[in-house]
Amino acid sequence: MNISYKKVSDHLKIFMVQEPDTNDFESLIKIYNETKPVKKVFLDLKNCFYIQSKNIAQLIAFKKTLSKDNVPLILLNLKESVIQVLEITNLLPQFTIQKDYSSYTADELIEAFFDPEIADEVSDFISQNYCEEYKEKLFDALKSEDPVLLEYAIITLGKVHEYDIEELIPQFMNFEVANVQKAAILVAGWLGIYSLKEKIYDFLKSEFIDVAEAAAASISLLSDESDSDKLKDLLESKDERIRKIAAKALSLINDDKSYQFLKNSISKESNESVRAVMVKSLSLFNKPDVADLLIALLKDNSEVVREAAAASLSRINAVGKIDKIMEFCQDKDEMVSFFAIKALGSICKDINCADKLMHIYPGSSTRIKAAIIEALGNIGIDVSDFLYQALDEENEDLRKEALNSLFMINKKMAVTSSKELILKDKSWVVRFKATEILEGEPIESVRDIFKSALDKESNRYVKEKLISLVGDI
Amino acid sequence: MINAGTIKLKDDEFAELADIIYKHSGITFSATKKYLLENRLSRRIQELNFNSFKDYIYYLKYDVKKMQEMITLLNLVTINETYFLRERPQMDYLVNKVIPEMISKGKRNIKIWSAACSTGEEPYSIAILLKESGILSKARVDIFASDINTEVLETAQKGEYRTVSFRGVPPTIINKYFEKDGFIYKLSPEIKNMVTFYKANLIDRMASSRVGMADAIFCRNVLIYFDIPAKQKVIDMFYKTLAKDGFLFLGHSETLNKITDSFKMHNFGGGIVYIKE
Amino acid sequence: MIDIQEKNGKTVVYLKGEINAQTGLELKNKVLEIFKTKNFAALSFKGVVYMNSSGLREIIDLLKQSRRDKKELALCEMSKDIRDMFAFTGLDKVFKIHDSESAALG
Repeated sequence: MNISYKKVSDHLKIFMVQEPDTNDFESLIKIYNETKPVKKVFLDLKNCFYIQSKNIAQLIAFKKTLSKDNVPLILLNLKESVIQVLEITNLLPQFTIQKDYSSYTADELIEAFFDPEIADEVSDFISQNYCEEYKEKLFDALKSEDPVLLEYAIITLGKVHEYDIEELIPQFMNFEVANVQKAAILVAGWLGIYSLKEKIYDFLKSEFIDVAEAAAASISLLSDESDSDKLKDLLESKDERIRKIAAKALSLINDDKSYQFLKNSISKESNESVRAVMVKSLSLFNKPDVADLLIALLKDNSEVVREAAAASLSRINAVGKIDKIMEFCQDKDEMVSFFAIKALGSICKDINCADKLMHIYPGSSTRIKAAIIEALGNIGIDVSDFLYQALDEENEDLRKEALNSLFMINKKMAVTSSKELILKDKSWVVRFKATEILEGEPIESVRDIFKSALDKESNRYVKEKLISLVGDI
Repeated sequence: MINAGTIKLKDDEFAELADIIYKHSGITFSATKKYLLENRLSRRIQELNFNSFKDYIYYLKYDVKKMQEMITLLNLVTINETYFLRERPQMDYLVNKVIPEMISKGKRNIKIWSAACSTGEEPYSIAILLKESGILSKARVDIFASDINTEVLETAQKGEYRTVSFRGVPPTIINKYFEKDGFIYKLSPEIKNMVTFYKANLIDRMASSRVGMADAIFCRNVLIYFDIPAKQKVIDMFYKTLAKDGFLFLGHSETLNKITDSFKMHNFGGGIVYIKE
Repeated sequence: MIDIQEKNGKTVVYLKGEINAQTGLELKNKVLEIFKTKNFAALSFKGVVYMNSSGLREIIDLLKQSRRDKKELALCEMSKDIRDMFAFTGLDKVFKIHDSESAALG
């Protein structure tokens, strides 16, 4: 088998052979020279099972040839064995590596459903490029007995709204394995198969919680005004997991009745993790009394409930409640202060908030200080002097956050500081952030700094990042 | 348990998280494995009400519950991944170099122990490479394989695999040693019979009693789960089990540094091997 | 409630407040209108605080129709709780959901 290639507009894609030897690697440069000019070169290693360490030098030589012409090289579809060779020789960071499922045959794509790490990506790829051939293969897969294959085939067909699967859904809802039931129930919800709603109710009693959850979710998608009454009973289930699911389903239905049911239950509920879910569910209702309800819950006895309430407040944009939220910025529960500060960061846009946060800063713990600096960046009032001072903090995360917030408020100052910190900060975390900020600058203005930073850099992550920017080998 | 979407990991967050994991476990995550961290940790982060990896990193660094969370984190990221011919250079070195040298020194009985074999891909890979090399006509090679988990041992003994186990295997080898039945690949009996499986806990000093004396031990990507005293215990047991000049193969991010100095380290180009002095 | 902007030649639709049966339908019709002349639209959920199942159904219907017409729909900038609703119903797998607007415009 020989190396093949194709050129589409100015992209060159080369397909490497199974076990490439020195000649194969030599021919890469030949192919490139014959097809010039191109803007990007993709080397597809889908069929390549092994690269001997001695051939890696040739691969690098190829990359160098390309970079002389400013043409990037992208490696596609690497097998684990090839990645490991690059990893062992410390060359992995030199290469840009991507997946490209368009090189896969339909059969190979279907088989990839068995690889849990890429199955979702493959399913996405099939649905984006859905065609008669894929349809046929997916329906073939539906004839299998394998639960993993069935699950992904059903989900993928559901994603593309393939109506031919509709009549098969009841049969897969009755399949003996839970993940297939779950897939069928979800797809019934997506496709809006209202006739199956009554049947889906049976699955709320499933011993598999994932199935019960999917059932509740699909019922809410298919709901009419009668369903919140039926789901209400689940709020009193003996199984705490079912009570959580019911709360989520009711918040999705989101009618007045559901709101009342939830409000009544939260006062009766004794399990704190269920109550935390109920807090979140309530915060998804657009009702005038929700903000006050959440603020009251910030004083709850349970830590998880307080945290859930604070996190929800930061979402609902309770602009009218800024003063009340501020009172919690110095709560004895660090997580509550943390979320309260986050809330202010996303709601406030004025100087009073910024002042208040800068005022409590000196006496706060490290994590609260980091949250304050982050919030100041989000508020957006010019507090560059304060942030500039924070660049001298002893703690690395505070310096990093300060640099980041400075960048949001005063880009010029952040760039100047980054040019200094990339070379002399003692923490790699800060040097990494400085590199990221400078990455946005025109490369001519920062190349020399990147090079001197690379010369003295000892941390692998910053080094890898710098190498990827200046392409030095 | 409540369904949740994936949270994206930004580059700086990835570097810091990979660093934390490395410092506490010795496991390295390269940038190509970023998606793995996203897949495995998103749910946990949402349980804590956070919506970014950064908040989670600060939790790990500064919260009062950080010690407890570190254990949760490591449990989530150390689900053992295995497939045929994983870290192949070590196996090539064993089959093409170590064993031929033993034979040339007159050895006719060679024992290899895959000490944490999981679903069997490692010992079977060694068996396949031995078969391919033709060396089996010159010496008798016994392969033992153990694991603490009886469920994975059952799978190993069955010898049935899916595509995910073959992510680095040339089709010529698959076609030669596996029979494809739908989406299942069945290992040929001649390879299956070369490996003896048994249950063993490596912390137990009797773990190697079925093996007796071994000439080479593979124990890759497992020591990372043990603390230092436990590591020392396991390595000591390996030391006693190995014959003189025996070989110990560890995962390529693992080291015996600070655990023992009774092994000689040798870099053979494709990785590291430890030799009993 | 709906603000439409062109960014580098691509259409971004900014949603605000609550997505329910009525606003969802409005959104669907607006985007289908856009698709008469464009092949791509991104929906930014940055300003969305509430959403219910009727609103979600309209968005599913929008996706279905855009698929049929070979138009591309990308979602972005969702708060955690809104994203949770997509995840709860498994719809996070059905839609292309990006963290940032720039990622959605790719």
